[in-house]
Amino acid sequence: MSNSIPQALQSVQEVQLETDILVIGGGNAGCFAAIEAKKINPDLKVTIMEKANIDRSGCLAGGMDAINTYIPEGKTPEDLVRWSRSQAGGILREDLALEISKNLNEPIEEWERWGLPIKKNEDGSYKFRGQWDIAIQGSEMKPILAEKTREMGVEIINRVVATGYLYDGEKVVGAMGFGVRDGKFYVVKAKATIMAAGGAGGIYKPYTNDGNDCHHQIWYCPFDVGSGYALGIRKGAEMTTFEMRWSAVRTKDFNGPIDTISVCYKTPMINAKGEKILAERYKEFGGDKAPRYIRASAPMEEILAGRGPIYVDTRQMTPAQIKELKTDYLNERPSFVLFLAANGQDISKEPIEVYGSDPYIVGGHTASGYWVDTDWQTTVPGLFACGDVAGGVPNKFVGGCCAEGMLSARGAIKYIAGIDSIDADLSAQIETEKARVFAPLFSDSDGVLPHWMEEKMQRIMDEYAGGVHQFYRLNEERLDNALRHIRMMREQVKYLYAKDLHELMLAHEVIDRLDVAEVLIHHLKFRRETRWPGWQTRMDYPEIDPTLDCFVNSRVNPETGEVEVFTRPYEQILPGDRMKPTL
Amino acid sequence: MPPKVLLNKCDGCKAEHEPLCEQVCPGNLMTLGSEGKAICRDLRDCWDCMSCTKVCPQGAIETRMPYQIGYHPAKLIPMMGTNRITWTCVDINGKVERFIVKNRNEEEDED
Amino acid sequence: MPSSVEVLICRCQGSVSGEFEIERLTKQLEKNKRIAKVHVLDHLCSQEGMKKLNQLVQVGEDSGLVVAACAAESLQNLLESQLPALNIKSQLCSIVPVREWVFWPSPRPRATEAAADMIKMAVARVRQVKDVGNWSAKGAVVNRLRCDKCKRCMEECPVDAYSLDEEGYPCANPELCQRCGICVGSCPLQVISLPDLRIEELSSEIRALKGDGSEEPTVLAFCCEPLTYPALQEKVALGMQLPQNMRIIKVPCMGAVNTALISDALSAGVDSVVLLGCEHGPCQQRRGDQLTKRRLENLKETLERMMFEVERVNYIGWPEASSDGMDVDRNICNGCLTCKEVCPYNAVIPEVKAVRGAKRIIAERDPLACRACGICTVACPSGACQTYALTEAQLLDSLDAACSDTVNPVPNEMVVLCNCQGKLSEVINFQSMKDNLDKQGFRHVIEVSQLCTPDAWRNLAKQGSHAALRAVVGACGKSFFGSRFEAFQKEIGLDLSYCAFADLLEKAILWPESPTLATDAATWEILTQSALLRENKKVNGVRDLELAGVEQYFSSYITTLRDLGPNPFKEG
Ligand SMILES: Cc1cc2nc3c(=O)[nH]c(=O)nc-3n(C[C@H](O)[C@H](O)[C@H](O)COP(=O)(O)OP(=O)(O)OC[C@H]3O[C@@H](n4cnc5c(N)ncnc54)[C@H](O)[C@@H]3O)c2cc1C
Ligand code: SF4
Ligand code: SF4
Repeated sequence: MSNSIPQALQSVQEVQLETDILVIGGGNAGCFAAIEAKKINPDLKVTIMEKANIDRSGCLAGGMDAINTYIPEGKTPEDLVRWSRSQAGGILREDLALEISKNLNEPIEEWERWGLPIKKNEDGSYKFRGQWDIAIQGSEMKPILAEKTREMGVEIINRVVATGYLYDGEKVVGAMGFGVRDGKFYVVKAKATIMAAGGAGGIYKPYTNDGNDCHHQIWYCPFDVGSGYALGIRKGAEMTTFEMRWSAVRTKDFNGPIDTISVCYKTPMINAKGEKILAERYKEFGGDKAPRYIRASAPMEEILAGRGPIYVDTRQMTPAQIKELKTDYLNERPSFVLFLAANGQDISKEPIEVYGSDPYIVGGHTASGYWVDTDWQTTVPGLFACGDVAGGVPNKFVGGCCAEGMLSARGAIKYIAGIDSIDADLSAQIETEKARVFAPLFSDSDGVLPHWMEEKMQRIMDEYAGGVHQFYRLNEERLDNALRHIRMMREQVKYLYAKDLHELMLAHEVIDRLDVAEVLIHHLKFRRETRWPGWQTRMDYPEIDPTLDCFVNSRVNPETGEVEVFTRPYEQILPGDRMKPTL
Repeated sequence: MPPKVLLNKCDGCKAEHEPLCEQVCPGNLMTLGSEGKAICRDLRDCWDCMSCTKVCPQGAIETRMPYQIGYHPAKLIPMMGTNRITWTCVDINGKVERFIVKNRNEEEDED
Repeated sequence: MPSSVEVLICRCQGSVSGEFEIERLTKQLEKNKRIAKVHVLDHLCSQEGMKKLNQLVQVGEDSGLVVAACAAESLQNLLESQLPALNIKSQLCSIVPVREWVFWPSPRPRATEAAADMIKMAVARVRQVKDVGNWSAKGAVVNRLRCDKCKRCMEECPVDAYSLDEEGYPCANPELCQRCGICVGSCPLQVISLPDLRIEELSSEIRALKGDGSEEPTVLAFCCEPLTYPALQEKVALGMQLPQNMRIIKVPCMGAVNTALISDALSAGVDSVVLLGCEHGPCQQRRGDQLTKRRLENLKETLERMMFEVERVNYIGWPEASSDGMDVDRNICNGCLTCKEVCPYNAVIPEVKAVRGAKRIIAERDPLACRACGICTVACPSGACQTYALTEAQLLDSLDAACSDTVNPVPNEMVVLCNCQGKLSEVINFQSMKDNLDKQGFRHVIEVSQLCTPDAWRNLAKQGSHAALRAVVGACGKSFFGSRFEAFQKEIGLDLSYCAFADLLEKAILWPESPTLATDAATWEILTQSALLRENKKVNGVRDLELAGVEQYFSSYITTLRDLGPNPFKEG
């Protein structure tokens, strides 16, 4: 690899490509978007730009053991949206959520035909493990999806990190990035661009990280760093609801998913005294069916109240169930089984300890992300978004991301109908971006290493912007402090030094995360209420403010470079109490 | 979490320019060292997704729990079959557990 | 993929049915819901049998057929020629040689169950058969949708048939590809197939291995097509006992066995996997054994870490390598290296050797590269290159015999003709053949009707003991009957080396409509074999193997397996 590291900006080789539809990020949503576009029109050229390798990239790299949202027979898309709305504390884009729900089942059934094993009941129907989620054996679901993507004739450029959009006036006309293996600068012109680069992990310091080998012991995919948001933020795209952060109860120390245990095997969460926390202390919120943020914050509240440690009680499980539970983990986060073994833990005798995760910005779970219209077009013409990077619809998970991928491709195809070619002169922005991208390679080696800045950012966010060490608690003064530091670090990115292409990628990861962090702080500051305790606990404004029953959106003013925060009204389509899962 | 490469088994994927573990790692962490054997360039950044461990044709990678969060020695070893993975887990007390998971639908499933 | 699979059992005119009860077998198979129908008939290899087959088996275009019969090559050819009429694709038809693997190593307990197990395995395989672009291909096919371009296939291909296409995918040149399957075995993602070898199919067959229901350990043995498969068949014909629950799968080379398949077997609860390959021998596929051993070493290391008994996986190099190949007589070779020039496989290495005290350049054979094509034998001006299979003198003699009208048989040379209970005499005129041979000077021509039974040989021994110094045996297909012949020859005290074998069935199949041609050809074949005998050399294909060695190996191996107990995967 060393010989592919460019020695000077002038020697950076450029790769120019043109395509009809460019998909950034070949993960779950991105692959579905590309496949759908090819399905609708096989003559279209569809290109995926992926920082890793679509065979094993993003959230699905290790596998999955469930599709969290699938509409069972007898239930309607409206039912799902009502449930989802209540789980999200009443805030969600109903128009988008309904559209996704209507398209939810189809991609999953297709995935099954391509090879994804879905668990079945005796009668051949899908095996539901909760109200909406079906159990799968998804350890190889990503390679299966990648295979289909190739079969459809999608052009795939692996190991190219997207760093910026190409612009023709107001419109996005493709993207630029660098090859993390070949050191080349990629310029891909496209009639339409679909952003699908996932959410943001690693904004906050995980409690598992004490400057050691566990730095990436986090729940979310640590290689999805919020670049998707950052590219849009830098070009003034409108973002929504960043303040609705996603933090969740995760297995202690390993920081792994917990639904497998609690939803699938109905194991109760208990405190040190053996009390069933949700059933006994959160009855008025619905007990075990309480909204997700309540469930997320409950154990942390217990710990604060001196009733920790907290467990999910696996002691009632039968040996067969325990075997199946472990098998489920092997399909999703296999190393959790190793973790249990490394602690010599027999979960039939000792319950599994849980703890809160570090917070993430994940539009597939909460509503953070690009503000899109019903064609999944962002506020920037020519730019579409889907998956964890798209905002407005919480509780999408795998199925919702697939559906959104399809829907955004349909939107993009509609959009390109009138476009023949892109003939604007883009050379100036290409030169600027190239210089920005490769700067860390040519800067003073006595500078700042990407890891240092990343760790500093994570610590600042953790301490001042409500990380797990602060039990997610926020107040105005701390947020101001966080903002001050994040801004200083953004000033300092010019000192970032990368000795090779991998470090160059790390440098851009921290640059992107900083952009996301700044917007996040603005959102957190704006919502002067506590709407989702746990996800967003304002100690200085502990109550719900009815005037903030709306979306909080933001946009970077292209003239000033300042983040401007404003609101958008809530539009209710489905009647009824938004906090109730059913009519 | 960090992958440990068993140097006696890794053959650098026969020194093809991009070995399989390097190809698949979602974090761009695996690479070929100067001796033509795979190395993980930054153990701290591994997500222990186990993609590299599963894909290695030589069975040359073992995923380890960092000592900071788990005791020594425990093992979790996948053996790749046709459309299925056979997992063996050995805990720190030597207790062995085995699992077989199907990871791809076959044309026709077993009865 | 076939929509349904039918099973056809050949009773082999009673030679099979005595040992295991066809009826019980049929019942067992009928219980299996993957089998649409079970047919039973007699002597499938006769014209009558084929006619019956046509009446019995009437299936749709995409149906599969599993034939439980014998390993006779002639049967295979015969069936192959019938399949189009039956509307069955040859890929969807599989022959299970129950006769060789179950009947001959008899008497044995639970033979019926063993046969059922084998048949079910074949059914499982046939059910998985699918054209992934490999049916019409001539060589290895890479599934580009799943290929990761790791290029291990390219590295391991012994004949450098692989190159990269314009998109960087490895691609085997069908002109060069020898279909050894080493790439199939090498592929970490199991995405390579041969025209008749697909991992998913084998995997399905392997996972269907359940044993005969007894406590005996199950053993999956991979045998290679050129060497160990026929060799093992011969052994069995000679009376060797196979482990009771050993099931055999034929592959082109051990190198074609992907470790995923071994993993499949072990995780499916099979007690042991044995790879029966060559030992540095002049393996036609070259490198296969070394690559396989290296792969097994890796696998065993993994198994060890898995706390899984490594004894359950074994490579066995066949005790004596195949005698196919060529050799250079050092005393004659003049070092001109013409052979090196003509050899298409680069199998000749010039070497400096001391011959009779003086240093000389002579040609040496690279046993791994040589394919015994014989081109050097013809080209060598000094006659130093000889193939093991057939010396030049033998070749000439047999040509002579074929071209001339008269042969002078050695006195006392005996000819034994088997009419296969009249099956062969349907086509071949035995009387005219006998007359002809008589004219040629053969005084001891004996016609029998079922030479494949021990009784026939005992009779023969009584009749021919005064004469039996040398003999030509004319009977059915070589693999069908020929291997048994080695077992029986001892009974009449013949030295194997002075006995030749003529395949009459082949002739009957070639000219079923023309008895005259068939009879002529059959007579010729007898004469040719007789001419070969006159060279007083060992005859084609007869291998002198250490019978006791292999058998002993298996039996002590089974003891080891019994001590180990069942495969730990069996319970879960
Ligand atoms: C551990 C874990 C367990 C989960 N379990 C479940 C579950 O059981 N059920 C369920 O329904 N949901 C589950 N989810 C959620 C679900 O997996 C995600 O919501 C969904 O897969 C996200 O899809 P995506 O396409 O938006 O992101 P991803 O699939 O992560 O795709 C993003 C892609 O963008 C690429 N990328 C990132 N940055 C760049 C860049 N700058 N340039 C180019 N490419 C880039 C990434 O490499 C990646 O391939 C889980 C998530 C995690 C992390
Ligand atoms: S995949 Fe395995 S053999 Fe290949 S380079 Fe990596 S560790 Fe070595
Ligand atoms: S476990 Fe996953 S993240 Fe870690 S080195 Fe292997 S492939 Fe990369």
